[in-house]
Amino acid sequence: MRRNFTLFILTAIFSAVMSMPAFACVGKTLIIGAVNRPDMNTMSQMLSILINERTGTTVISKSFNSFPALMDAMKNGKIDIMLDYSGRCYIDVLGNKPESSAQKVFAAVKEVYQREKNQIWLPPFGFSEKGVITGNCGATPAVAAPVLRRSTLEKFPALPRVLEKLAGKINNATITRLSNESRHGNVKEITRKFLKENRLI
Amino acid sequence: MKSAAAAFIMLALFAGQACLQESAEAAPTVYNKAYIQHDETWSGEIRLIGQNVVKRGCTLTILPGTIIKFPWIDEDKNNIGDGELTIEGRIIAKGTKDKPIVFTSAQPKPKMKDWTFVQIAMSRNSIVEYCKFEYAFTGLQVHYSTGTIKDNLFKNNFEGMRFSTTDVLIEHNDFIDNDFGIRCEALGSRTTIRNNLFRGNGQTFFPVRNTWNTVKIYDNNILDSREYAVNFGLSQKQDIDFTNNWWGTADASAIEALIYDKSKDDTLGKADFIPFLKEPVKDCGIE
Repeated sequence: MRRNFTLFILTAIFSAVMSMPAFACVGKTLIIGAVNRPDMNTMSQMLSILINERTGTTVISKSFNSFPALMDAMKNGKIDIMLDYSGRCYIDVLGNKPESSAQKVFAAVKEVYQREKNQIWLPPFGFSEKGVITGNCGATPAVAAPVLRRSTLEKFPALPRVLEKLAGKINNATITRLSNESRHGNVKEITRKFLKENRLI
Repeated sequence: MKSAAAAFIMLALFAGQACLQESAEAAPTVYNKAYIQHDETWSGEIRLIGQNVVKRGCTLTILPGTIIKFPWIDEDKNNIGDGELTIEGRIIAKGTKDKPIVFTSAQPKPKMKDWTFVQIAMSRNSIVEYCKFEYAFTGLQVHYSTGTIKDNLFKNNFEGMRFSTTDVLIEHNDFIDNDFGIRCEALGSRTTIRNNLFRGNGQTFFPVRNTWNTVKIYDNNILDSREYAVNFGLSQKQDIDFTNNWWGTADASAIEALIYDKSKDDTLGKADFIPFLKEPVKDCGIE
């Protein structure tokens, strides 16, 4: 009787734990999408290493030829996280005019994406699009940040805590240096070295 | 009479040899997403396609020299082979030093993550001895189970072993060239890890979260970790006792550099490694 009861309790615990998000990582994979350009490739690799080494989740990085293709993949659930610029989204996606306040742009994009697309903008990395390439954002400073699908957040609730470790850590000079180094070297090794030097892994 | 007897013996030997040869060349036994609902004994070559389960109440016995291969399929397109063996009942996999039991990829050019794992879940007194696990996502996962994991080789896996709340003895194993040697999320686990050889793993110990100090880790040789010997995961807030292990050096600061814990991120727990052994443990690894 006692043994049956213990077995019942253990079965209940096991079933409960198996359905928890952390166990959902067993053999499961998180997919990061980014447009194929040096800064985004660098950040995609950096996130991949950081998430894998701090949470044990297996991560795949996928590259896209354009922002519309990236957004399509995000919308259709083909990727779990994407990397994007607030200014680009503010103008190209939401159809606004250029705005000089980076904070205002970020807050507006974050609010609309959450409400209308079920996508969550996490705190920016610290570099702007202008610092990397010349975009069509006019005077709008365009900060780069990770964007999560709400369902991704439900599956991997620890993600914001991991990704926020990069918040404000990478300024224009740093991303330019890392992107340049990545053009001539192994992007995985370069980003791993950066994470290690900053005690993030 | 004498020559007739000799001829008979020769014939018997020849027949025996022919039988052995036939047995060695026999086609492998294939299980395709099978639910095994009775006791079974495996020998020769076994091929496991997709997820295969030994149901509760059943015992799977694997004889020495058995080779279990996992052909590559990836239905969920996650770049991890789907082949797996889950034991909800009991597994008795006792190889020998000369005839180990091998769990491996069926690919002609095998690589890490060609198959998912052997998983022991809710099992009592399972035994895994003299087995070789290679090219898996995780060689062996143990959850909510008791048993002995002894004299095994875990090589070229993404994770050598993973365990959660368990009461298992992990001793005299070799963990070689895995990305993660042992990963654990071991809430209240009473697992003991001793006299193992760890060499060339990316992160040798990876307590992801909630691993308590009830896990005992001592008398191991922990060598040549490519990144960290101990890497506390994001939610590993509890301290863990790593005292009395050999880390390949008797220099405390060099050992500290091999550990990612509170010393590098103050939100994490601490890996207590002092006192540490000043020389290698003599009887470590496969006996």
